[in-house]
Amino acid sequence: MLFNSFAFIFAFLPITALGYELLRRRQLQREKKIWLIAASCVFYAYWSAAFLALLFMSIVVNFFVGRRLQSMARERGTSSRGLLIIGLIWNLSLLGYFKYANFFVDNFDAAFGLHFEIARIVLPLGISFFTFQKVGFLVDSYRNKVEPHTFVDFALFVMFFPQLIAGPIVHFGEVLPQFSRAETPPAADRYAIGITVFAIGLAKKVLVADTFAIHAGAFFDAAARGYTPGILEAWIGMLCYTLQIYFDFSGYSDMAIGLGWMFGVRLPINFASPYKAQSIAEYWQRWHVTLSRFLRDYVYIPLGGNRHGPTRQNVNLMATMLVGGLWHGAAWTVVLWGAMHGAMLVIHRLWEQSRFGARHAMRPRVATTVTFVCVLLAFVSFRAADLATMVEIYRGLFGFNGTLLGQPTWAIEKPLFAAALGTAGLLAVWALPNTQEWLASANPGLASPGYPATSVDARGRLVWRPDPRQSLAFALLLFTCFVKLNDVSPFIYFQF
Amino acid sequence: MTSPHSSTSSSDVRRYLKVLGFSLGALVTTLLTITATGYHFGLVEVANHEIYGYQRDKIGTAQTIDIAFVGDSSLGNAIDAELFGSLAGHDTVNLALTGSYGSGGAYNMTYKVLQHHTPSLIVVMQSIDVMRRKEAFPGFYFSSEPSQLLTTSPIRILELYFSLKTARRVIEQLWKHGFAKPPELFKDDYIAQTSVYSPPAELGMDPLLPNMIAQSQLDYVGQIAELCRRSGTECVWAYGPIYDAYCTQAADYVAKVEAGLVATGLPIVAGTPLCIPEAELGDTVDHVRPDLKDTYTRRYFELLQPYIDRSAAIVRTAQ
Repeated sequence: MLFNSFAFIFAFLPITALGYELLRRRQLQREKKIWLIAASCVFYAYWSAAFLALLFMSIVVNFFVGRRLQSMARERGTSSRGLLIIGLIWNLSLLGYFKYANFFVDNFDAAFGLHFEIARIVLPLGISFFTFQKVGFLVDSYRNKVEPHTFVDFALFVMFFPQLIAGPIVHFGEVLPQFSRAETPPAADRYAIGITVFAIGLAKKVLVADTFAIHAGAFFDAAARGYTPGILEAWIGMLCYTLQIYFDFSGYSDMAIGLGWMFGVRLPINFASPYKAQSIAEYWQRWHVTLSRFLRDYVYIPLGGNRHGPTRQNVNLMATMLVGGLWHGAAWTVVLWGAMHGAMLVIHRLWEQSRFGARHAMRPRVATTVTFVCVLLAFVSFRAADLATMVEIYRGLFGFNGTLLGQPTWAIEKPLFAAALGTAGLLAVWALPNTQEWLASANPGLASPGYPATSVDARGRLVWRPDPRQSLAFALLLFTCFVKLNDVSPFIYFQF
Repeated sequence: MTSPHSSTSSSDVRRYLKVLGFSLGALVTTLLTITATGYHFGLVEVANHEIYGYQRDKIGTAQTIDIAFVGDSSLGNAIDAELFGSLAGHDTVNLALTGSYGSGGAYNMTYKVLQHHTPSLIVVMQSIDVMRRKEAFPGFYFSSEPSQLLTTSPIRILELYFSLKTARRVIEQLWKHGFAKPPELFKDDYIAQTSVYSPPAELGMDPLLPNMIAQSQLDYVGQIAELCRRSGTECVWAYGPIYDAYCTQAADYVAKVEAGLVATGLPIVAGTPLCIPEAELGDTVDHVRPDLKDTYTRRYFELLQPYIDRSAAIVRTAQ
């Protein structure tokens, strides 16, 4: 079920909230959690009931493996590495089968011409997200960092519908105490803030991202059909896509955080104005923060992080970003996207450590612009249908296809409008506070340790206040979003 | 969870929620009232109660129906049921709605015919253009009996009423004509054509593309095929006539529609769509000139004859 659908907003959410409030008022803690699990099952089964069984089976296996790891760690002070590996293999095998089997077979086939054929495998919705969540849980269990909990707690941790499909990727320790807390803030507070954050996210998605999607989609679809974009069109198309993906995914994350708030759970902040970053390293502290910290905690640091010298650190950075790329999809284009970010992180490190870099620090605005352009260029690979299309778009961006100013047709129907829209969007993301900063007084999202941009304070001038004028503005905003719901469009990150 | 906005009181928050809820409720209610008014009074195209009532009444009043045509206005303007019936030697009825009803409307007309009669052949005839109309549900909804809607999701119905575009059209209509919508003029068993269409030069440059096809239209065709299978009635698909610029431009689109139709199991009548030369166009791209209705009826009869003979033979065997 999509957050931006009539079924979700007018049926699922009100019914779930009503049931939750009834149980909460009667202090039925366990029943309240079971109600949320049941609602999450409906939420997931709305897309595919068959995969609900897979999700549930995976929860059962992980719960028992995790429990065994925790009890061993508590009793002996150390847990079984073998059992952890079995647990990890179980999770990664599921992900590998559903997400990568076709990719590997196709590539194997292409390389050796064996004409090996397997049926196209349907990717269970959200599998990349909940797999990482469970991997984190098992590793934390092994490290004896998991508090005692029941099966219901664990099932809710995995299935809690606001974050089930596309994150934020939460740590068990972040949400368990919140699920188990007897007292939640007053309902009026929860709904006022929750609805406000949800409305901002919904507006980002249906009003902004979907508008950029029209231009970006036309551009990429034409490129995939062999259209040759000129330099201007390529930059307009890429600007639109770079803004589309940000508003789409950060909109989704805002909606998730808003929904979490309604049910008394603060979810971690996933986006902290990534396009304001002044370096690629800072960008990864602001973009998809919960994935970034997962990769840091469960890939980069276990690989050795920065503990074995600069060369090894660079290798670790590259490897981590390759994993990050592969996580996004079973295609060489996204692997390449990960490799580009890995390379940019390494170059940034080398630059910072060099004497030249130390003496010639860029001005903040230049640094932000350079970082943004690097991110935009990498997104070509992320979005292009295949490597050939990617090359053609890069040729366009760097002027090898000419300007096409004199050509009668453009793939983007209204290029001037798209350019103006893109410029306005870029200025907005550079100048305006993000959702968390705007609602800093309410503090709706959890900050992540080591990610300073996620720690917000309420000193900004543009701040949310529960006054009638803002209330009216939000009513109008929500209404505008509702009338756009008929043009239903899925979130980009659902495909991952 | 920290307590939010310590500088504001909980009464502020409650007032914020109340204002938000009340204003949002008022906006939503206003929109739904406007669209419901438009639908109720037939002020928007998809709720054309006159054509629907006209065709539905034929089912109720006909003694026997051997051959039934269901579909859109390309059918309404191309087939003269009386002439077709005399050529085929079977009682024939033309139940064409409009393109706005799409496959959802065609499904319901098939359903109604099969409820009250035992035709030997049902011809589903729609313009290729119908398949790019995004939604088939409105056509189904506005041609349904109340009992059919008991199993329809209220959310689907809410989606239908939650349309700013419809509301805008209703307001325009009310502004210009009030509730006094000019009555539909019927001539030759269908809505009369009142103008002549001259296709703009760029029409041929605006091809129908495969990615424009709406799955919901095909889904209702699939349901028609299922109805026919269950009732043991022979049903076939014939494309309605279309301006020949589309015939040449829309090959990929038609191929994809065809693949979808084949998947439903509905046989496709060879030789369709009939391509209309510019000089023979009526008031739009898929309407033939009114004076050519007989000619096109005869042409479609020739294409459909094998199915008429076969279905008649099946009926005879069954008897």
